[in-house]
Amino acid sequence: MNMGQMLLVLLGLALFSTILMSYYNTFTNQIDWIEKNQIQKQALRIIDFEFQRIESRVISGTRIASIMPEYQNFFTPIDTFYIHNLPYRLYLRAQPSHATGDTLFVPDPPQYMKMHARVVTQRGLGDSVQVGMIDVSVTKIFGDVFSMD
Amino acid sequence: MGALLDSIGAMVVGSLVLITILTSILNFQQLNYNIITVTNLTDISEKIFKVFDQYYMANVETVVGSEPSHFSYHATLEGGRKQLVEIIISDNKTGIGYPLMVKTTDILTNEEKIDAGSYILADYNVFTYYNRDMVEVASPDSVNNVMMELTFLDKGWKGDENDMIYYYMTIWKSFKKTYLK
Repeated sequence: MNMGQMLLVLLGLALFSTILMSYYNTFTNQIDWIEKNQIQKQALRIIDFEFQRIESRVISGTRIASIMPEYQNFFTPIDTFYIHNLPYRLYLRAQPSHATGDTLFVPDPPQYMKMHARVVTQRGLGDSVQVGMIDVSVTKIFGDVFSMD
Repeated sequence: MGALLDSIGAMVVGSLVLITILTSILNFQQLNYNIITVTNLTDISEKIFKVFDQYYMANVETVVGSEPSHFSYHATLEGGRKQLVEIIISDNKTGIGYPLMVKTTDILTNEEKIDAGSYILADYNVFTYYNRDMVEVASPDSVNNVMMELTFLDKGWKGDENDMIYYYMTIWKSFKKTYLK
């Protein structure tokens, strides 16, 4: 085998390895996306449940004015859910609002509150998955049904 | 002598490349199978979440039974008829897991219907019950919220029970009408 042939074999091996690695890389990325998607879905279930609980309280006569003080800090988790050994940290914040969700010039006492939610899951060191962010959170508006005439 | 060494070298390199190609093809098939299976399990879990959240548990009125594998309650389902709804996870293992089914009984006519999809779970103790303060409770009268820890499973590439693929989903439901009592 001369030098040229050896070089060709080496080039062939390099090309083969590159193709193989790119395939593995694609699969690894797909698996990562699926895992992230599962975490995001789970996080949305948590947010949905917290909103359901607040709705249940509002319907059963708890005034939003008494609910709002419970949810004022958007930087400290209000609860941490451990699901399949992953911690889902839930952050909630309540703001007085109009029915449209506008939070400016809201009369006192407010008839509506806008709930902001976000969930942060730490998968590993420096690897987190978030649903909702501080500025762009998952929101829902609740009306104080017993104050409306 | 040189030609012989060349031939042996070519055979060794060729064999290594062939083995790597075959191993890679098998690995790709396995990975592809696993991805498809997880995607299917995700679809099933989404369907179950929707049907529980928006249909069976959308209008729970009174909780009747609260066991870890059997949840029963009165609810008004679509059509306005009051039903006894039972969500049952059988403790008899069928195949690879425990089947999940929903039984509805019309309160007026006693007509029974069983909604049993091909939903197989890894565990049958899935329900945990909470009161309005999220304290775990056992008595049906105290139940305001429920948590369902569902682990869906399917056989992996090898097709035996030592190589299973799992999908974990935890869902909660708050029963608004029970808060009014």
